Amino acid sequence: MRVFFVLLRMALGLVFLYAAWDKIVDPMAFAKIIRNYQILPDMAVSAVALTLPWIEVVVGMCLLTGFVARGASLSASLMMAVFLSAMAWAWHKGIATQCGCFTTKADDAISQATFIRDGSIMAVCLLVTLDVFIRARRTP
Amino acid sequence: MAGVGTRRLAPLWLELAVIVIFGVGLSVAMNMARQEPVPWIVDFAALDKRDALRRGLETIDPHAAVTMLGKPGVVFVDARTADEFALHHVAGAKNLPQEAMYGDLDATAGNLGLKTEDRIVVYCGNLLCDKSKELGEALRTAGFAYVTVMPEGFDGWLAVGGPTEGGA
Repeated sequence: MRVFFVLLRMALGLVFLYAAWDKIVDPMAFAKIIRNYQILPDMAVSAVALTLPWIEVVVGMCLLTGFVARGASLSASLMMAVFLSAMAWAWHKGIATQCGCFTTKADDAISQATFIRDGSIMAVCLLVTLDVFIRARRTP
Repeated sequence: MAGVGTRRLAPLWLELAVIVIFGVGLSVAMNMARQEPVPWIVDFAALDKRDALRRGLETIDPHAAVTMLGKPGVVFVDARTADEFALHHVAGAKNLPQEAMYGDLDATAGNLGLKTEDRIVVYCGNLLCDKSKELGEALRTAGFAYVTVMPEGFDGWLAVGGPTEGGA
């Protein structure tokens, strides 16, 4: 069982690293997607677009290696909660924006599929977080 | 002796702080390493305005656009496809798909009842689309004197609760 959760944690790390790549390559395209959500003030959009992908990279690396695993798994869960909330808000408002989850290209619009995909990742995040915290409590 | 031979975990707040500090540090360092660093604060509204001005167009934000709806001589033009328009659009808007600019734009605009002295507000889907600017530029070239673009598009209109029509 332990091996399963370690592999799950590492897979989650790879997902976060993969998700960060496109945003790092083209931060302005990512900034435009963030802006289109119409949640953040314009002043904050660029800073978030520049910082968020690198936090995803650090979280991804930590999940992959197991370094500060509690913080990384908790951060991953919190980030997914924020992403899903933003998507739900846009969906509720009828904003047909790009998700900006894995790519900055115009082929990832918010849809039921993106909710299922990100919801599944969120579920994995919670599982990994639970496992990491339970193991940490057992550590003498 | 307590703690001897055991691995002590760092406090959770410290783990979170390490992640944030490394993330922010890396983003600053890697942005500085870019050939053209991206500014940390960007005035996107000014960028939109500059882009529109370059095309000879004015811009309007959705809040101001809502107040123009229904005024005499003001016509909202939806530059999206007919399908998107049919689904949901600004109340009273006319659909002039951006593709029309590649054909006889004068005739198509005339069929819609657009007059050259109308105050035309063009919009498309959202901030990520350029159709409104492209169509606006074409309308200006075709002789429509007062063309304004709403860069936030229909998404921006929805966000401010502007009146809509259609069966979405």
